[in-house]
Amino acid sequence: MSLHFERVMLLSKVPLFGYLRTDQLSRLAPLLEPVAWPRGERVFDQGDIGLELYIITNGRVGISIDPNPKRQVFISQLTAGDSLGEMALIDHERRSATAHVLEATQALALDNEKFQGLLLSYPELGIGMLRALSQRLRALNPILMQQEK
Amino acid sequence: MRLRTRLFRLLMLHQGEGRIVLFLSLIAALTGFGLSIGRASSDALFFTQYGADNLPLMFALIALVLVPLSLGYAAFVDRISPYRLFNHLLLGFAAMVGMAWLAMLTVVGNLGIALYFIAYGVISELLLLHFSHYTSYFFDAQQAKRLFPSVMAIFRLGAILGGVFLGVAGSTIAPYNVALVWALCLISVLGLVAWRHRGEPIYTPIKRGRASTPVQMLREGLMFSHQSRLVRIIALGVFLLVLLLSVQEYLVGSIFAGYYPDEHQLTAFFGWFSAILNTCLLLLQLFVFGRLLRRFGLKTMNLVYPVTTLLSFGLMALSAGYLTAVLGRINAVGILPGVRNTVSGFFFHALPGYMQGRAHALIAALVLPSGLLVSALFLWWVPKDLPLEWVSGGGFAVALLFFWVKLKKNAAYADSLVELVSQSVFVRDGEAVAESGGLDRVTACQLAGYMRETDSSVTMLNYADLLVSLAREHAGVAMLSVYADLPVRQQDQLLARIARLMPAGWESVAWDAAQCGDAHLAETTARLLLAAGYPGALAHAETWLETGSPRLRAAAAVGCLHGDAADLKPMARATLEALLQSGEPDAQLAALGALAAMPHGDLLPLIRPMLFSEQARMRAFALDIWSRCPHAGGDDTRAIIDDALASPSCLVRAAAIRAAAHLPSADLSGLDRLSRALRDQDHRVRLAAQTCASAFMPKHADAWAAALEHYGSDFDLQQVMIAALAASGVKRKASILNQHTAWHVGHARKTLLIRDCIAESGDQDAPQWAFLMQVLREEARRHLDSVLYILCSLGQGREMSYIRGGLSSEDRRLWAQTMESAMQHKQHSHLFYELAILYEAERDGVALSGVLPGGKAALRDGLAWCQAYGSEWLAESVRYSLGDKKGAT
Repeated sequence: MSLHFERVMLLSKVPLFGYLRTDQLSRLAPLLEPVAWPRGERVFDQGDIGLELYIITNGRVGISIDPNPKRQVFISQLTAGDSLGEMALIDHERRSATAHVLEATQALALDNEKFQGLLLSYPELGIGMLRALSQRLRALNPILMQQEK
Repeated sequence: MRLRTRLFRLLMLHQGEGRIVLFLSLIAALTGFGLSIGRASSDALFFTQYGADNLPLMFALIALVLVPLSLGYAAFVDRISPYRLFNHLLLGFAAMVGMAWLAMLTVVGNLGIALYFIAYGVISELLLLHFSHYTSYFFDAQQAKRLFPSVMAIFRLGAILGGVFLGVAGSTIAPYNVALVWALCLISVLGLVAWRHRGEPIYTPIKRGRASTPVQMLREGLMFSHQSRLVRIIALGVFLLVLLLSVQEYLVGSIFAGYYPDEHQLTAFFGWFSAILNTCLLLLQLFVFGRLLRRFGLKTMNLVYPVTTLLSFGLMALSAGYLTAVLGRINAVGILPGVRNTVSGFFFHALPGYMQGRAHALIAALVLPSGLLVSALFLWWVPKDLPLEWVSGGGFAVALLFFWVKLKKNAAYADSLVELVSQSVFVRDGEAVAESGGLDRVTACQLAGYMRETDSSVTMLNYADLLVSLAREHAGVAMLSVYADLPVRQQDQLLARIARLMPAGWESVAWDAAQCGDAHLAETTARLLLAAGYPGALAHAETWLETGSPRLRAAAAVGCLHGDAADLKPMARATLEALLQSGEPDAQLAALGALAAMPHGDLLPLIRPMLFSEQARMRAFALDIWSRCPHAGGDDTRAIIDDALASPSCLVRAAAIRAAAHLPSADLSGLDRLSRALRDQDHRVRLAAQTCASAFMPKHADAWAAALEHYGSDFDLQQVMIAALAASGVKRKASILNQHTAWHVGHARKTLLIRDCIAESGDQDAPQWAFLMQVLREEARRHLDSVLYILCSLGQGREMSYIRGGLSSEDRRLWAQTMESAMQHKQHSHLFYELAILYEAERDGVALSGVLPGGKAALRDGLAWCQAYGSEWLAESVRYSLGDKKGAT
């Protein structure tokens, strides 16, 4: 199977890109760089400068907002098709959480400059991003309620 | 499986709609059965026991009962969910009928029969009203148009069974016991509805307004009738309808009561009459009505009942006998529910959701009772010895008015749909300002004031461009008025625009601002002021040309070359030559940057070698300068451009497409280059291509027609070309674009047929084929969108922009309302009928009827067609699906 088409098919299932057509994904696919981390590593730490967003193709990543990057108390766990790191690319602030690799993980990385270019070219990407972010906020609500109790 | 598919096609059902249609059909059948036996038995009992002379009293009593009940309905229709209200209504109606039955058991022939007649009058209005409201809870406008006739056909089936039941049992069963059967039907419907909605939330929030009492709800309904012409016309139509029906019932009842003095005979007659009539209507509704509706449209079908009413009253005015009474009864019992009631429900879809319930309530609580009361007064006023033909003549006059109201309703429907879609869709409204004649000086200065308030350079430049396009004569003064207050970086970006507009005194303002010490601003100011011959700048020219900063040196030199001071030119030229030949990248880039802002042909020999530079920025600047110089053309022009377009650097590719735009191109190769640039991976290249696209466009009508077809499946280029042609002065542009819509419609159809063929081949589960089906679907969608884009570009006003926006919506209801609105379009209704079929196929996967490209050839031929005539992406995807890995990658 062609790697390019495989990648396009994978991207078509990512909620972030849910509003893009396959031909748009085909243009986007070559912009993504494959990256991988072994189990136990951290993708980024809270407070790091955000330069890339990642789309997980395989594996599992835990997200922690604990100021101590070594503590593994997760507010969510991300798997294939999920994206992480996009917040820092939107607000240009430092990373708001630490991402722990729970299982050997492969991902596709998109750097800030290309991401900004994509946002300009495909406004639909913004809608997909809003959807992904609001889903993440919804997932956080029960955790916040538990913490309040 | 095949039988199911055929049944689905016959009933025009799409995937996932079977269950809900089955449920609604069950409800409709039981409701139809109940209403049929209720009407026949109550009419028979009333006409034989009381006679038609007492009808006015009954109408008045029904009106009196209807007012509080309808007010109660109005109070809850938008507050609680439709199913919950349906449950309450059914329970109440069953109790009413049950009580009437008990009353008839104890005081037969007197109060019970009157109660039963009133109960039918009230229940038939409210039950049908809420049934259509409840159905619209499940369907959007397009689904309703397709499926509601089938559901109503099942309603008719129920009515047939009711008629047969009475025909067979009418002579044996006591007519008052029929009320008990009807009550049981109502209870059964209640059970079905409760079962279907078990576990669903009960209350829905009030959608608009804060009315807490029924009277307030009614006031809101009246308020909406002020806002909506359609609501007003619907209300007037219903009022006239009630009047006509009452008069017709009086006439028909008087004639039948004379023919059938016995209640058992009359019940049986009404039963068989209902069964036969409803059978005819069932066949009509099931197999013909939906297709007629799709073929002739809602507006034509809306006129059927007014015409038959005119005919029935006209015939009765000539001779009020048994035959014309039968025809009158057919009109009231057959055409009214079969055609009029089915059609009238659709008109409510043209109202916003928050208005629909209130409009229903207004009609039920105010219009219906008013109509009944006026009917009662009219019939009381009519002398009893007046020939029935005279009464029919009065009815004929009202029927004429009714017909006129229906014509008005059709016009209001189309307007209301456009209004509804425009409320839900955002379209760019910039042209409204341009249409109003641009901005005056005061407004232009106000707009320029916003430039002060923004931190973003992009926004500030957008304001500047807006000023230039909307108020060119005031733009320079307006920009200059805020120039001194802007941050230095923004001053630097704005200065070139101000220099082009040359407002009075701009040089001194720029000169003063440049004294702040910012190097970039100083360079830009020096270049522009030297070119403009500003004395303050000329006095500094020699100092700048000898300064240590290569950028200031280059900027001053370029300014001098473009200025009128002849004594400075040799020195300026020597400075630039020295910089370009220095071999130092910084110095060369400084010279190239300044020349790119203001190119000069004298230095072209030194620039040419840099067209092949390995340094991307240098090459991009060189391309910019070279292409804008008058002597740029040459034998190697194409090679230079094509080589640069293939560069790995996006800066070079963007410069290359800009350069290509400045060069003459006599064939399609220019469009080929533009096409590639519009699909470039990098957004900067795509943006550059869009900005300079107009330079690549054909110049003559024939060339336009050929190019549009040649690049028909290159959708990015299509959009640019369509916009350019629409904005051009080509004489035949409208006909070229209209013809081109047919090309896109044809390709969309073929693409969808190929997708259907894959689905039927059974390969769709394999990932590569599922993927290809998705690509085919997207391709078809883009063809359809191109059609809409053409229609928008043809200057159809904002209506077409709303339609395009609504049809691209993911919201099913909005999409359906928009399509309904589009089909009312005066000029393109036929095109939209065709598009509606294609959109349904694209969105819902409905199979199209047609032949695959290449006649009876198999899927292989279809895929070959895709590779030959589809977009580049589709062709690639086909190669991938066929396993041609090399081709696909």
